[in-house]
Amino acid sequence: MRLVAPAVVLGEIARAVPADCRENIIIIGSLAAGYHFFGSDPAMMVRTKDADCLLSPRSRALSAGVDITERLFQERWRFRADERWRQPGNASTPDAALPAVRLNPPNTADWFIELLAVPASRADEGPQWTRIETAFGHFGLRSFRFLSLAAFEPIATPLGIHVARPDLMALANLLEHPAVWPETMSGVVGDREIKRSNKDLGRVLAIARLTIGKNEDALLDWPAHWMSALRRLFPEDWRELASRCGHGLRELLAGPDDLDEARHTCEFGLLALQAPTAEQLRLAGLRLLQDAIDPLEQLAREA
Amino acid sequence: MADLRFGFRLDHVPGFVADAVLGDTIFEVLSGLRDGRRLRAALVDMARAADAEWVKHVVLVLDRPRITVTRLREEWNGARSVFRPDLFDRLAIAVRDEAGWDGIPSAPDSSQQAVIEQILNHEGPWTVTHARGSANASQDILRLLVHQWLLGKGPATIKWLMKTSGYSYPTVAKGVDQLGFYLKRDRGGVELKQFPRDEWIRLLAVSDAARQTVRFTDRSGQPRSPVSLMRRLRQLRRTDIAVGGIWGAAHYHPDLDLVGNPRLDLSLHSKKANADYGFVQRLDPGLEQTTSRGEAATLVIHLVRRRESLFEPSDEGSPWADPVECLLDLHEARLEAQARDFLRSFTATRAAALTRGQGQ
Repeated sequence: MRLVAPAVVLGEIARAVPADCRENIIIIGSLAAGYHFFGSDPAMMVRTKDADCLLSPRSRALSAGVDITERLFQERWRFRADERWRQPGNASTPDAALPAVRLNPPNTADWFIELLAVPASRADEGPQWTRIETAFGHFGLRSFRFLSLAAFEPIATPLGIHVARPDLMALANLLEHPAVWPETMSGVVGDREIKRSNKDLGRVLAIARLTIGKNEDALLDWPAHWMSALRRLFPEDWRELASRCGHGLRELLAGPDDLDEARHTCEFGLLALQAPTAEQLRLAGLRLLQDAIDPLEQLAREA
Repeated sequence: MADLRFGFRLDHVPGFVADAVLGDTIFEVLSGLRDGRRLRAALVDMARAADAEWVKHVVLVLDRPRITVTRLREEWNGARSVFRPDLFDRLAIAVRDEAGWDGIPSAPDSSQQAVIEQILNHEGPWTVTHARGSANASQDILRLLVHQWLLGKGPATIKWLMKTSGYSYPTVAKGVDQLGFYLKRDRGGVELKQFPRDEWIRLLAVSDAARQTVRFTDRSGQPRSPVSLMRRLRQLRRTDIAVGGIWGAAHYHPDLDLVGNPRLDLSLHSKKANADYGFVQRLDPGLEQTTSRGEAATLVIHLVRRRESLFEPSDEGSPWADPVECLLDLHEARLEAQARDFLRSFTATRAAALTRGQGQ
């Protein structure tokens, strides 16, 4: 993974996609967080290889996915082949085997864009794949249940595209990992095999730390915003979701090995230029629990 | 049934604050009484308290006295001969010790015992006399007299010093005697003639130990500001933790220079042998106690061991430490310029008040 400047990558994406699709793109993940916290400072970099673009709303996601994919191929973006997906799919490719839209820009292989879609239903528990047919092949748009949180009240940028709110990306990751699951990521981070939960919950800790760095009391505003988003997006089961949102993080903080994996992913990601120690990351987690998670769980109990 | 009221000011005895009042009965508590002189002084106070139409009973509660009931009866009978009979008939002594209940003229009945238990629980086992040395006692008395002097409160009675400090009569008397050079005695009390610089310097030299100061430093790499810590403290609504240091000083004198203040000073009013600092984690999980003076402290906590905290209540959620604590905090933080300004502001206020008084 290379160091990239979030503002530079976002600018490149915004310039490449069709103008009428920009408003349907929400950048999520470390690039979104990096852009939010580091702004347009090209000297502030994050280490990443993927620029996750969430397509929203659902009613426009599929057509926008087709338009964006075709335009990028026309602009000489290249399909990023890997061991699992060697080439674009076709009409005979089963839905479950469809490749994701992962494209490298014409001038670099340092990073790639990946298209995702907000879920079709609130009830979808696991990842869902939706086929899109383009002039350059068939692809799948991945959806996760809690991606809808990242699409909630996104922040507009002068580039015409949006970035997800860091607090809601954190909440999505917290909900996605109510425990530290044993599954590891498909590739290594640095030279280490890492649990997916530790990577995603490590992202939560990185966001918390960057948020505190910007405003020491900002985490106190999160519970109200989290509750507002949960009630809107998950009106039937928001209480249950809110009441368990801290379980995975607490498990991570209690496990030195898991915490060190989280620290490692921060060092090889969002906090590449200001890497914290494991203890500093743990303390960021305790502050997050105290300021945001415990109050949200309390709000859920009292509602 | 009437409510039990604590710290009840008696209008008919100026300066007298009863430990508790229930209906027409006044209660005064003495813990660990060990000499007849203190008992005789208490009986005089009780007789004065009894001298009002609404007062039917005045009960002196002796909690674990160090003198025998036989000796108590001797003192009691001695007092009978000199007190007005109508007042003496309203007095009683209740004794509670390891053996149970006793009293003069009779032990309290079960309902009275329940009330007294409630009062004793409220008062708490304030054992400063035994837990701390006489040097600390002298310093505590000094701090109380400086407090009265800074705020222009006038003479402090021995009773007030005893009640506020929690020390026995001999301890307070000894502490007062040691400050004799600086004192004037007036209206039944003692008052500093001037700011006692030499004694103050001696106090500063041992302030850390005397106040059992504990320091906390940030381990997160992202230290919280004093303002953030103070905001979180106020949310706890604790009345036993007061804001001191430069923030407390600025409360008393808003013109004080707050620039360059990187830490929060708190005063914790605690009677426990081992004070509970658990609340620090509520202020910031990133704080850890340090004994190294080389590390920058974000939060500094000083214990207030006397019986009355002298904290000033605040609508903002946390009280303010008294000005003496604030002044000590400023010295301890090496904010000497602010300490000088703070002290001068009180001196100027006192001088202006005296000038106004002489002009009238």
